[in-house]
Amino acid sequence: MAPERILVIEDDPDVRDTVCGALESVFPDASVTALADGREFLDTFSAAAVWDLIILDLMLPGISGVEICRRVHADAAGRHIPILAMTGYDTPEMEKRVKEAGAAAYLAKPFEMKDFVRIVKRLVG
Amino acid sequence: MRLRTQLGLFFTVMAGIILALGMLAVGGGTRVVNIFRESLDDMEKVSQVRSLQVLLARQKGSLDAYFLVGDSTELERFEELSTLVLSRLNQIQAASPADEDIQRLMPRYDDVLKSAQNVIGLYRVSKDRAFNKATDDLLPKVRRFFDDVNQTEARIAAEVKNAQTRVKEMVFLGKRLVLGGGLLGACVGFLFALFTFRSLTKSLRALQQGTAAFGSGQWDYRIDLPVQNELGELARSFNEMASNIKHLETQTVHMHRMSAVGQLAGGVAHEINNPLTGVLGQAQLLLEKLPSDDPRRAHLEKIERAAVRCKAIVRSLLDFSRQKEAQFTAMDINEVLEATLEFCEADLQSNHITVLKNFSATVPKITGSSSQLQQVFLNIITNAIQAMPKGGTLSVAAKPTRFTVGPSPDAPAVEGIEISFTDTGVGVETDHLRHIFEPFFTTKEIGKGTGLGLSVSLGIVKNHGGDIRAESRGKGAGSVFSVLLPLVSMAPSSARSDSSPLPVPVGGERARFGPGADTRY
Repeated sequence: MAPERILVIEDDPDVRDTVCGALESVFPDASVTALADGREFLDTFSAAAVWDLIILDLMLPGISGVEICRRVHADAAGRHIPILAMTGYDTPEMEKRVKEAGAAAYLAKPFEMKDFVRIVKRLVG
Repeated sequence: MRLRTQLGLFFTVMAGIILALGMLAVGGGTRVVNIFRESLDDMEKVSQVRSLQVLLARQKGSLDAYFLVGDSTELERFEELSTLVLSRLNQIQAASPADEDIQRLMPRYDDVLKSAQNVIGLYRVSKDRAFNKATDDLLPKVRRFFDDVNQTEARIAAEVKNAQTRVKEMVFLGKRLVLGGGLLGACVGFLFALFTFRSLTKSLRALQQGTAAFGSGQWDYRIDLPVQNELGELARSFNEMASNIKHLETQTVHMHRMSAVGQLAGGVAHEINNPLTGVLGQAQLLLEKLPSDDPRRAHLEKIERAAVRCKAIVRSLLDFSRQKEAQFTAMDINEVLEATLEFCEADLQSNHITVLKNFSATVPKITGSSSQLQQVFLNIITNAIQAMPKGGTLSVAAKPTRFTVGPSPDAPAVEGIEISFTDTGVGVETDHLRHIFEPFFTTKEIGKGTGLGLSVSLGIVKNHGGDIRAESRGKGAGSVFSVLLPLVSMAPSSARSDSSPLPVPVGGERARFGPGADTRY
């Protein structure tokens, strides 16, 4: 099923750009919102927000990606939103933590396009 | 000289002094006893001669009395006394058979007695001129004889006195000797004690200063004690220990630095991964947009490959810096070797070292800690690189094998794998071969190698139930390091992450060294 609204939270502008470009390539009809800071997202996050997919960087300023993941997943409305966690600090501990916090998938940076495509398709499919 | 020798010498000298004094005492004592015995004999003789003198005096008195009053009892007494005198003279002569003067007394007495008998005979007959003449002849004879006896007495008495004096002198001398000997002994003892005490104190002070200085952090301090005794040896041992500790400190500092670098590596890895995401992602996005026959694809593919390589390198750096305590899992040793070689690739290339890989496909999986084994392989490869400063060849081979662990020839052979690293470098000198696994042994200069690598590596491999063997045909002939690992390793129970013996798959989405077989170097 093609996703309509995708959220990307990533503070590095080039990475943000690359992820949005990749999404555009995979889901050209989806509406992609890109944020550089997770706090902004949480402030406005509510049951009204309907996202088909959230792509979340873990090393964010202010509030960590893991914490954002936990909060979204704890929310009744947010629980069903698939979250793809991404990080350059790829360790088994990190993967374990973020999956425990409710992430549906984990991708290490830098990622290959084919892996990215496979995962996001699986998450929204 | 050694303290033991010094002490031995002291005791020998003292024993010598005591022995000498003892011998002198015994010898002197024996002499004194002999003198005593002699003088006792002499005193006996003196008393005999004195009693002789008494007898002779009485005899003369009797004769004078007889000649004066004509009393025949006096004559009888004279006769009796002759017998007594003769018997006394016999006694005296028997006691001194060698004394010529004493031997002469008897014949002289006989002579005197004859003359007396002659006079007595004349007296009986008539007291005329013949009697008077005979009496005049007798008197001097008697007097002479009496003188002889007196002289004899005086002589023997003098000898007795002489002996007494000698004894007194000897006793005096003996006392002096004992005192002197005792004083000498005391002096020797005192000098020895002083000398020893001074040299000991000096040595002990040097040792104490050394240990205090070293203990307070002056790790370059060495004790200067060039004496050739046990304390000198202690100082030399101390200095050796100090050097080892200093070396250890250098290594610890080094290790801390490495650990800090390791901790830094995590942050750096993360920092690099973000821009790398851009490089790889954008290259691949662009590749998607270009037609398949576009010649510009080649450039993008190169960028893509370079970015993927960077990812792999950062990955191994991150892995290496995250080493924690051993977790034994099943692993493919070829993968570990590949990862290590990849990690060293830059070093190998910059030193112009060609790597020849011969990994047997039939190498079974083994159980162990891949991060620790990577450390071992890294250590051996680093040594090989340093042994080939002008370049060379490093051959890495892995194949199945059977081997025995330990020195006993009865030890059972185990199934396992042998990983050999052969280099064409400077080799290991035959003398050094048996030392290279010792903790502080290194042939590298200060700062270029800690000397801990091989000993730690051997420890790790032994912990896996295996062994490391080193061979070298000598200086300049290269070396071969073989790591032997058993299939089933004797892993320490506390280090197991899970107790199941089933192999745990390694790989998947989080492959250590990149996306597997696609990677080319």
